[in-house]
Amino acid sequence: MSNYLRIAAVNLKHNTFPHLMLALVITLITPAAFGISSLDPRESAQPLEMFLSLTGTALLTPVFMPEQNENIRSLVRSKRTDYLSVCLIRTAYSVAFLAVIFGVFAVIFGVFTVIMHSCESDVTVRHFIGGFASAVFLGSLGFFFSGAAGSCTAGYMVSIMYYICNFMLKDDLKSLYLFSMSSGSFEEKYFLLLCSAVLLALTFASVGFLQKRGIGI
Amino acid sequence: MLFLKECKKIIFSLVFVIYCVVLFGFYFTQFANDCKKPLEKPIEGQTDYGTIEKEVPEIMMPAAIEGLVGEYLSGEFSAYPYGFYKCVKLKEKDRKKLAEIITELSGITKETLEKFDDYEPSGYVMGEDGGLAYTDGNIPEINIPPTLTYDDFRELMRKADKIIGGGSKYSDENIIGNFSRIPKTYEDALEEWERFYNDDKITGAYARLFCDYLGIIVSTLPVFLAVFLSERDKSSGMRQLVYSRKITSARLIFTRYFSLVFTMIIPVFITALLAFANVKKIYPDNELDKFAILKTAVYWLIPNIMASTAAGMLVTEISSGLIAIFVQGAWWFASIFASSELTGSIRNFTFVMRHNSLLGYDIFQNEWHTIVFNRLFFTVISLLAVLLTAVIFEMKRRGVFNVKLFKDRSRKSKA
Repeated sequence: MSNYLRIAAVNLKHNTFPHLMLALVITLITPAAFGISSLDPRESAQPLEMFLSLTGTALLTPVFMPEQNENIRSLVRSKRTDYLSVCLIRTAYSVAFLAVIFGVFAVIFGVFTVIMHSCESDVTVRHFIGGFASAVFLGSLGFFFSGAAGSCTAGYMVSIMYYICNFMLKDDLKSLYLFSMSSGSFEEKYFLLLCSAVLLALTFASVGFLQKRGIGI
Repeated sequence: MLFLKECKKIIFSLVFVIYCVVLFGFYFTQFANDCKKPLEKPIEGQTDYGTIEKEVPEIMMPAAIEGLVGEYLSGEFSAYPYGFYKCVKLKEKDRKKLAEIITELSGITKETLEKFDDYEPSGYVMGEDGGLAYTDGNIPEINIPPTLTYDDFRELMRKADKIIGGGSKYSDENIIGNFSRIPKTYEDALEEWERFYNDDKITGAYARLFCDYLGIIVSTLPVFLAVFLSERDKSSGMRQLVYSRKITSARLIFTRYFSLVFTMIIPVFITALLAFANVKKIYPDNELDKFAILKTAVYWLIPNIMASTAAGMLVTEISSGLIAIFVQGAWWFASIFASSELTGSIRNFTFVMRHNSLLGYDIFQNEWHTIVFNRLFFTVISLLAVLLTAVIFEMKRRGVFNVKLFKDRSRKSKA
């Protein structure tokens, strides 16, 4: 157990730190771009879904990034610790960071609206879950392409392009629409969470398969 | 030949495949979707031809002042400072400043504004019978001072917009669209259609619409290819090998740059040909300009591809691919959401140009000089950025530029 904690600490310090900083920058820009004094539940969902969800791309896409460098890949091959376990640790704490970011943001958002309007806040647990689901799905898309294709740039590309498509293809995306809460619907979020879990599992399966075939790590 | 080798490397990469999929996907879901039937000629006697924005002080002044008083009394101001809705609540100090402006505009005293607690917005409300009924709302009586000129009014509205934080209904960009719309007559609608048919010769209008849609993505997609190519060299340890070769840094960087731009233009030209085929299908009997869409794509989209690629190469060379994607993403985001207007908002330094309409030939012609300056500016700035990339590459090659602005932690993994 202590070994895994040490792996988490070293990875956090040397691999995840810049991506975590990027996620924090996105978080800090969000209230400036949108304002967080809205009374309407739909408007309250906008900053969480339409901007903060990008933290998912920032945190989950680069999980496989370090080993996409040939020198590091050679080094990892020589280690006894299973590579997928290391990636699983990185994924777990990245998802946990996402939950913390959305949790803290939703609480501050809620308290702020209570103070500003002196009334009950419209920012609820549903906002937290809904925003988190969109972020995890966006991140999982990048995670999948980054892992399965062995290119982090491809991961960022797909994730960001999917985000842009959501501004234009609302009706076509149906249950995979990221900004559904801003349109007053929450049902899509369950599907997004389910798809995220499938994408994460598929990525590990494909990376494991490639590893066995000697194509990846 | 290095140029062809680089092109081959790009074309057979996954990132280029994704680029093509997104580009064609965008073409089919956006442009082709808007290109299913011809633009119909207006028929005389229709009840509604829509509305047009027209700067009529007599309409705008009372409507805008009423809007400002209403928002002041409700305590909340709608604004779109970054393209997204923002509900602005002002601090007491700013409310006082705004109250002074309202007094100048409407004659309503500060005391009346403070004491008025019976505000009701105007609009449609559901009646007891379930039907919709219009209510006038309830605000203090507005008496616009006769000495208030239109220029003074606009200046005060600008100040009000500044206090709200920009992007409000009273900004120069939004005030006409929000408070000065007049019904379009049959003659107006016919004139617009005739410009589309005779001046734009149909294909000109579709060329603008095509570039409007594709411009959204070709302003950001190229950065990924630029980052991919640079990072691939770094991660596969090819850099040291390249450093030792005879080829000059300028030749290498510029060849790489032009191969990136060249390969990315090919799918754009293919979609332009598809677009023409689409237009020909819905206007089979008209004589159309075969090259109109292609020509517009050259001056409209190539500068976007060049700028995005150059920015990606430069930032990756200075720092890392991650920073390059973030910088380009922020630039794209700011450009797309800087204006709520989809037509007629092209400025000297607008990166993503928009004209999301088959109409508005006159608006586009009025903006033509700005567009020429804009596209030349981005072309020149792109080439300068590539030159700077070559200089930095050369410095790295000589071992002069070893300090990274942002530490590349991925290369020092201990995990």
